[in-house]
Amino acid sequence: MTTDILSSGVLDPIGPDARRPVIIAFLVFIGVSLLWVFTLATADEVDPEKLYVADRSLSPAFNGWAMAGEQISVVTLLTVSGGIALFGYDGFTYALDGLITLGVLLLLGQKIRNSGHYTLGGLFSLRASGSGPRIAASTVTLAISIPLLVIQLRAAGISVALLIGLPNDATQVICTVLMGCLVACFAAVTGLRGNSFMHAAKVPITLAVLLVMTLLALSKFAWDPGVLLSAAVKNSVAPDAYLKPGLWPYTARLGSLNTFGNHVVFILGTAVMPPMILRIGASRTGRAARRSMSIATGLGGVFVALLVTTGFAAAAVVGGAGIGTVDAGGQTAPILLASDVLRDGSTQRVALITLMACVIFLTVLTTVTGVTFAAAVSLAHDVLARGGRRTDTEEVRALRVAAIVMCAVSLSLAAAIHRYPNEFLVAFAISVAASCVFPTLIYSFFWHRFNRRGLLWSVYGGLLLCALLTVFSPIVSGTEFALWPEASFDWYPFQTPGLVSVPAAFALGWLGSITSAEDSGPDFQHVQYRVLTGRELGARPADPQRRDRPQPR
Amino acid sequence: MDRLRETAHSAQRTFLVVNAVPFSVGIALSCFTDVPAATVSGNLTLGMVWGILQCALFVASAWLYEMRSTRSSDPVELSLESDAPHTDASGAAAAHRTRW
Repeated sequence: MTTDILSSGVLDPIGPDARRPVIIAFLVFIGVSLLWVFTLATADEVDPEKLYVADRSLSPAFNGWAMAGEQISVVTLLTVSGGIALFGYDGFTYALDGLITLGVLLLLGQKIRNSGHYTLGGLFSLRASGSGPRIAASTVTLAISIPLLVIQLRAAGISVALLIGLPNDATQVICTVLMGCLVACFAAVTGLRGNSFMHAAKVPITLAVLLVMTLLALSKFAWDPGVLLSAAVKNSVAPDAYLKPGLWPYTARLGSLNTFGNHVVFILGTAVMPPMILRIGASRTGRAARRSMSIATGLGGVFVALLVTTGFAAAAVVGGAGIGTVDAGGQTAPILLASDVLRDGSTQRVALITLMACVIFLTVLTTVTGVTFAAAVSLAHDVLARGGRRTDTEEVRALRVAAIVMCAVSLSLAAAIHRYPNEFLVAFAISVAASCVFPTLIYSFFWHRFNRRGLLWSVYGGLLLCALLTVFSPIVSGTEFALWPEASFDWYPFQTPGLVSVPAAFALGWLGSITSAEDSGPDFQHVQYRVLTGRELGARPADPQRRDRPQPR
Repeated sequence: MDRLRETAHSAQRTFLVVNAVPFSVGIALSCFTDVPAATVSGNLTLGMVWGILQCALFVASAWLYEMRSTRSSDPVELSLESDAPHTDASGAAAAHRTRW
């Protein structure tokens, strides 16, 4: 997803007059963020539940705004709008996928919240006892989170370096490290409530900036959306194919089935990412979680509409060739639009670019912090806190250490693979979520025969297939956008392993369950009652591993 | 319990069908045929119009799903809560709720 901006040469998209305000905004942003971190650090929080899920006290409206904020990621804001600006219809369909993702969460959110669990480990242990499911869940969480962190940190470094006017290798790595350190501080200190505040604050700011840019672009085209669209088509790189399927070069050449698989796997995978599950767990009740998702859907609809308009406006105002010169993937389209929509030298132009830069900084910080925090909670709660009896203080300390370690590992990897294409990481992370988490949730909530063996076969089988198929896919070798373009071991013909691994994980879950002698029927009744009502149906057999099972009040 | 399951699943099924059918048709047409490239008006193609309508349908159906669940499922769930002396399993009702 993140294309290599360096490949296109030295660039100065915002001009020297806006540079100083943008750098000042960046420094102020870092200063205010650190100040806030220090303020939060003084509040010595020792209750793990308060840190992990804000004591399950977030109101539907607040959590809905925060959930909408989760949808505004670096990928959606920069890559999708850039994809629309450069590749028209193909980018537009990916913007819609982001919205449909919320539909999956709308259907599963209430059940996830009612289950009482907020990590993959907890959800996996709904139908299977012992440490096996929790270890599998932690493995999956790391397999999803570390690639996502590497990608987002790298994108953050590239975007920030570009905004401050120094898009060279060294500056990009320094910016990546700076943002990574800031993220580590936030993830270790803020907790879910602080994170939610940032996400919720990001939504109105982002929507307002996109709305202003859209209105300014419309004013250039006589306030007529039809004229704007015509200009976008005319100024695009391929006017005849711009509003037709098949222009996105990475995906279109791999065939129709590849595009189909990309869409489906993207929707299923992004819906069940660990940060989403953690956020659902912070709702007061299952009903509140569902209401949050409804609110997030409305806000997500507004965001997608503005994102699509911004993408087309960028093509109309800047032109496809101009955007492609700066970045082959169009990631800088929103920045270029902010730069070109007002005349050079005006104060309003500088203010708009500075605001856009702030939105990008905030987006990077919130997105990466969210992923880091969710992974750290999973490690602290499902693995470190289960190695024996630990006090709350020790568990909170384990969370902080886990957050810092996650960031350190991801930063090292992001710096190490800085020069290489990393599309394979996106495909891998999303496919793992779609293959290992989605089938498990569906079976856990809806199928009475699902049991421990089915779960382990499904999760490990899905994970193994994702790893194998990614290695042998055209995003690792055999194509010009692959990790090793000169090598050729790409016998798997699709970009996303999910096209095979998702059905295979479902099949393995079914096969494992039916071949096991374990009778999961009675257990299913308890689970079904719980996910429908949020309450426990009588007593269940004791399982010492299920430490986070809520106790009767 | 059965009534709750029935009402909840009925609302979910409706939401799923209303959105999954146009989405699947749209994505299949867009991936396997040239139909979305057909011009509707000016530069606007059928694929674009389909996508915009799908987006609007999705937001509207999510709102209707919420309304329907609030009206039909939530009262059943609440009555179940008040009738049965079961234990709260979801970790709900945090003792010190904030206004957020």
